[in-house]
Amino acid sequence: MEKMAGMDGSMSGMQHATSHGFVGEALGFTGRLSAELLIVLTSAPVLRMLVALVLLLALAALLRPYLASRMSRS
Amino acid sequence: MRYAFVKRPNILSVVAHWASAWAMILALYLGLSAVYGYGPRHATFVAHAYAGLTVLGLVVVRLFLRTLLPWPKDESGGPGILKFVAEATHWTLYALMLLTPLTGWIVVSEMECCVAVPGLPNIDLLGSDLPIGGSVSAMTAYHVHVFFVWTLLALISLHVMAALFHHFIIRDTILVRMIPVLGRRSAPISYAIKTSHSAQSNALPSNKPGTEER
Repeated sequence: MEKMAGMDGSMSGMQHATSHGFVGEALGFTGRLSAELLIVLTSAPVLRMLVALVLLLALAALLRPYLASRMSRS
Repeated sequence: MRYAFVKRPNILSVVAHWASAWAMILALYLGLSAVYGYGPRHATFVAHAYAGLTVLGLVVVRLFLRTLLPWPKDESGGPGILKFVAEATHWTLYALMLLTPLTGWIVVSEMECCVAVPGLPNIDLLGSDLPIGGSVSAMTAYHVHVFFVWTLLALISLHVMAALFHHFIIRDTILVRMIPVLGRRSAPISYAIKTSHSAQSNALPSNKPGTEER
């Protein structure tokens, strides 16, 4: 847990990494965050979970007309 | 306020909506307590992880039900831009409810040395036969997790304020259809479909449940 608290500290410390004024800091932070977002969203665990979710939703979409016809009949 | 036949989503979706809302509040509270609070940090963190997994499970159930069953159309008035913002907020909330627990799970899996959640499998081992995507470090996943948490908190606040605005200012049925106790005169959309099929008309008899006006 201490390691996690340390990671949190390192995140807030990122704001002081650049010293080119507010715009520079904001751009630096946005750039780093965008890169990290891209890394996480294209990582194996996230992509595998998304594939599983898409398959599940495809199954629901296939079942939907069948369920609708049964509901309108009853 | 008049509730002339409120079409609400199916009751399972409504229950899952409120269950995920409470699980999210619990996960946020426990997560902040684990990082910034005092006391038994590990136990709090484990409880946070279970609350987060509950959110993940519930959002999968909600998306499944939303795809499987009919969903009432937004019949509230107002400018198109507001409708677009509402729609975008809803789908962003769904995405964040999926990705926030997922990134948390990645952090725990990558930090097996230091953080252990009993019964939680390593996410890297799930579906490892599927050769897609790259690897991610615990630090990167944690930064993204924290960013998602604050974004989620902001969007939940916006969502709650918008629901209250609809109920008290615009005075439409948006909130009523998600709180069945408020709108005793509401009925699931499946009932509306059935009724319209049998009556061959949009007009509904006033003595059926869900058709009275307040």
